[in-house]
Amino acid sequence: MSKFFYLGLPCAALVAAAFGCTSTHEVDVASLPPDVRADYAVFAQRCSKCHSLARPLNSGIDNDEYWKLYVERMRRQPSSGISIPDTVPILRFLHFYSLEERRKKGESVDEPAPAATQLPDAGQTEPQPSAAPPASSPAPAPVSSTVPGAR
Amino acid sequence: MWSTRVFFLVLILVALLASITSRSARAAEEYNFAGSAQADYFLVPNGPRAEQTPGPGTTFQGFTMEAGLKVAVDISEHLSANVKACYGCHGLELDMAYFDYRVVDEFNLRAGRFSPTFGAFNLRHDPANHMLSDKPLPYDMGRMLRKGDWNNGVLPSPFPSNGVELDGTHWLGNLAQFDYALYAVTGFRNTIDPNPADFNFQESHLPYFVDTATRPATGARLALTVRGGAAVDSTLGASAMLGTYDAKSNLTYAIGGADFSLRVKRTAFRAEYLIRRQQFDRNNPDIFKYSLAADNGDFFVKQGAFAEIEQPLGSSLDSTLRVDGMWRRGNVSDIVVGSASSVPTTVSPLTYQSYVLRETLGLEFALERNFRLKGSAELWQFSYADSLGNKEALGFHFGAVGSF
Amino acid sequence: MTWSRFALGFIALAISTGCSFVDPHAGASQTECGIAFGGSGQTSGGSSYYGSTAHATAAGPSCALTTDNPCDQCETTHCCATRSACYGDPSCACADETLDECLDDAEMSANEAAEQSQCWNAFSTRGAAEQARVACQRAWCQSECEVP
Repeated sequence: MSKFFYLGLPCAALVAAAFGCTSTHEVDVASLPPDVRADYAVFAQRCSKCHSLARPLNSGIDNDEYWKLYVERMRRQPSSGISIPDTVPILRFLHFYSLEERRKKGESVDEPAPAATQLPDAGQTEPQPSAAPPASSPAPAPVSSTVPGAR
Repeated sequence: MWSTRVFFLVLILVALLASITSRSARAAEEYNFAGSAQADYFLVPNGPRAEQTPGPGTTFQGFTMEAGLKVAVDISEHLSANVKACYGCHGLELDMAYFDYRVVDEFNLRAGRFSPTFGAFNLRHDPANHMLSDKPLPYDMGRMLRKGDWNNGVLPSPFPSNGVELDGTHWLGNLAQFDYALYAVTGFRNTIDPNPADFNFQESHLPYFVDTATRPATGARLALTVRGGAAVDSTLGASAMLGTYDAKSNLTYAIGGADFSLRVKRTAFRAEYLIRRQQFDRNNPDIFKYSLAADNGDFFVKQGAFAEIEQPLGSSLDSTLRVDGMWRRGNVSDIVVGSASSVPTTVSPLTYQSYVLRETLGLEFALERNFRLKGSAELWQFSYADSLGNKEALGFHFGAVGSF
Repeated sequence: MTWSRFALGFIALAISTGCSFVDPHAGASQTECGIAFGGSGQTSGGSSYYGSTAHATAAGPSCALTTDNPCDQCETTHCCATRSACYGDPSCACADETLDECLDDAEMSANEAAEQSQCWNAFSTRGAAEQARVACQRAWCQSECEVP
């Protein structure tokens, strides 16, 4: 009796919390523009292998140049499963996500709000206005394997 | 020694912070702070401690805390540095302090203090990166029941050591990723006990240790990750480490490991197996529980394995089912590791063959993205009884972990 | 055929070597053959990790003749001092038990003589008491005790 009581205690508490709360440690896919969802899918699959998605999503980074370094660092982790072509949709999603985060903070963003956008070229430090390409459009060049500053 | 360690840790962190804050705005984008902290309450209702008969072989029942702060700095085109300070059961420790000189993806030279590449779990050893409150038994570092009897896991994680590592990764098209690592590090040791019979992990963790043994521990890892589609990937890896651990570099240890993981969408299956063969000092036969055999009588073998499935149950709830265990075979020393004694004062309850098996069911719930609750129930089964006559025990973890 | 036999032989050798590499051996429990924890240097018991206590047993046998075994008879007659010293030393007493087991195992072996020789060698190199006992046996009771 006591075994089952103790066994069920943490489970019951967490299940109750799960049903009682509506928080999430991921992004609400339904709220994403359709052309961003495929990029998010790649990001969510690849970037949750070793840690929760909360770590990149709540890292506070909202700069494309820094995202490149960050994703490169992760790509080079052993058995990361992140190939160079994967970095394109991942960075595209993170760019979109960063813009959204900056809008939430009330910062001025020069890009149209609702769509995924193409990453700026390497060397640019601020996102530039651009049309919203679909996820299937030509992707931004992946980061070079010897990108300056990359680990 | 304690004050020296704290002093150097603080010095390194202050130097890093000073360096970072004095950099230009452009350079300031090239460092990254990350950290995590986990508070966990471990309840063992029928454990000896709960029954007021504690001993050194019991575990950290009650609250424990693990916290880490990591700084990664990109110094130049090819050079980066990582420093990580941890607070845990041993107090403040330097988990990482190393430089990476990466020529290309396939060739990276690492030098400093780091956990050499071994197995798959160590990459996720931070409590924010694994779903359960404690580590799998082969990698346990003190959270297991009867930890004193077992002297922790096969290869307690993390296992920071000073040395160099050559590693790299190479993609074969977009289908497969090949990783390798070769290293030479200080390794594990026990220079305190006059007749060493196992590692002294606390001594092995001291960051500022003048190593009298000249022979480094060496090791390697190979891993292949294959993708079976956009949402399927699998990794197979093998690791090995060889070294000596006594002051005279006479007593050898060899650790081998194999790991396999499979991810299908967000469901992950992981399995690892570790084996350690370790020689012990035979100069004082009286410390052993059994008489020394003439043939193959100078070592013990400790094996451990775990298999686990992680399954999201919703956008904020994850579940984990894990089975893990350890099996030890060989003679048993009655000297408590690290006691510096040549006369036993206790009798190890381990026998020539001992095992421990554990089944765990855990849930993790995200209150916020970076703040999660962990709860798990564990059923422990031992090959030998404790002082209360119990061969089984139930354990419950209630934890909260935050990360940034 | 030759290659397949060679390959099978190699695999068998690798497995047996590998298994031996991770197959530790140990003798009898020292508490059962006269050693409390702490061996000869320990005079009283204490608490184990979980509260159980080990008990020392009585000292080893004297030189009183109690068996018809020719080795024992010879040794008690000619090597009383070294025999008593060995049984009085828990470590040597245990090693003696291990020697008996080793010799029993050797009898089953195809290479009995070599293995018996190894058993004696392992015993005599274990310590001073063991070495003295074998030296006396070899000097006075080599045939009775089948000392190589």
